[in-house]
Amino acid sequence: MKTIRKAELVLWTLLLGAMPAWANNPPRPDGIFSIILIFPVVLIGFRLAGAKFTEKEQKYRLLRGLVFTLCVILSLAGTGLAGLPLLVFLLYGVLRGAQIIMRGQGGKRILIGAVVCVFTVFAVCDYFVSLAVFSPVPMNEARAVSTLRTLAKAEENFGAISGQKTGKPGHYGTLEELRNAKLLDESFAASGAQLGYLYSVAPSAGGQHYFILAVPHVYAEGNVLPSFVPGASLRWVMDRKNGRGVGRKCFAMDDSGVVRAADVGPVHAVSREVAMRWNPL
Amino acid sequence: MPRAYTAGEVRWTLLTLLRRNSDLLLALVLTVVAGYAGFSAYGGIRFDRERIEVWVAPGQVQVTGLYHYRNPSYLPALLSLGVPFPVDADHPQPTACALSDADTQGDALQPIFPGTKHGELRFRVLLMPREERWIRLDYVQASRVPRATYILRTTRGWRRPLEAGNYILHLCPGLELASSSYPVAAEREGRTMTYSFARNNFYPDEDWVFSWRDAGTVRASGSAP
Repeated sequence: MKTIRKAELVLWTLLLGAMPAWANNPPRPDGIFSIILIFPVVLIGFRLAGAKFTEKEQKYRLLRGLVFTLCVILSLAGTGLAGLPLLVFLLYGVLRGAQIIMRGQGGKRILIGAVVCVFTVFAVCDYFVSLAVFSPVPMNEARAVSTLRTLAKAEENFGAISGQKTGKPGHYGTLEELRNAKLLDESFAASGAQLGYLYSVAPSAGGQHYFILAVPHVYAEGNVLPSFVPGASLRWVMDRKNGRGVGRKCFAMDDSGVVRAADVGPVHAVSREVAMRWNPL
Repeated sequence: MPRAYTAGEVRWTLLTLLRRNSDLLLALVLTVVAGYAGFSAYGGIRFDRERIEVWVAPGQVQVTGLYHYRNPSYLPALLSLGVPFPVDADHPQPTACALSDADTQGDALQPIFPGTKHGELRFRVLLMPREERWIRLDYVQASRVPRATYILRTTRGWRRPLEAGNYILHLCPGLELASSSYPVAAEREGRTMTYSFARNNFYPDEDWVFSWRDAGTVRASGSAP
């Protein structure tokens, strides 16, 4: 047995050594909190149902505790590493729920066992969702900035082409003119909508300057990620289905190339004068 | 003299040990998974190409980077990376950062949701066996001085040179290049000046530092407005 203990020690040491310090994309707090709650729920369930652990289970309590601690640490790491620990937690919770039903006393054991099983499944789902779901707002906003630059580039090309045609200084075009000149991707809708933002392009009188504005099609009001409350990630996903907006900031760019941004609430039109007073990014 | 064990006996003993100690089996599996995940971070994946475009506007630097990663092995590999930004007193933390998968043209596809740690963007993607992926990074950084840096030296962390690197700098109208730590070729695109350099087998030992100055009321004496 001493050899087995030594082998276990070596394995645990290896496991700790392999723990990736570079772990990222962690779950949100409610996900990991739900997972940790499985243990008190199981223990309380056992106590309430009057179920008892077997002698063997008591014997390996410490080792099992170590395994679960490591699983919790791995699940803290998040994406890509949490798969196996998640399976361990799921099996543990469901198995313990079944044991409560089998070993418990009285009719309540069935209800308690079922609650433990359901809570385990709920916790694992919440954890999974907390890993997989992110607020799309920062991404949409960053993409809007990138699209502004695409439009600016199209404007510069349009100016160069129109100048070559007439032999005079060229002029900047409207969104429609840019589309007709095939300077914009086909995914760019005629309405100026792309990836949740609405874009408008306004050349000045004479076409010597231009101004591009991007406003979120649906303003992301109160689109704040949930915190510790177990199940908050699941609830957030369900709320998202009702449509909670794509972005908060409006962006503007003129022919100087400077991108400006402001959170002005759910608007669809901003004048150039107002937008030019916004802070540069 | 000790008795020699047959292979069957050893196998039987091991199996019995594992059957009686399921925790040990679990520990073994966890070790293999964690070890694989840990080591695959630097295991087969290669960073072999990049294309960087920088737009400079007054007080602002906008960057789009395309990075090509390749998993040459027959096993899936986990790519876990931190993206460092050149932050100092004159260049605050970038805003409007976005990471996404990209096609070969550089157009953004599926977004990647990064985390942040110590001011770095951190992300993790799984590369299937023999898979190649372009990752696109966009960010905007304010610049209080007419100088900016693009970090190149992190390439050395991959311990092999880039097969190809393309670096393009666009200066908005009214600006002209003052200096560049790498020699660049200049080209005019409408009212915008574009400077670029390309390298093959590139193992950079310095970052790309460039500065610009106000060209006054520079106007293209050509076709553009």
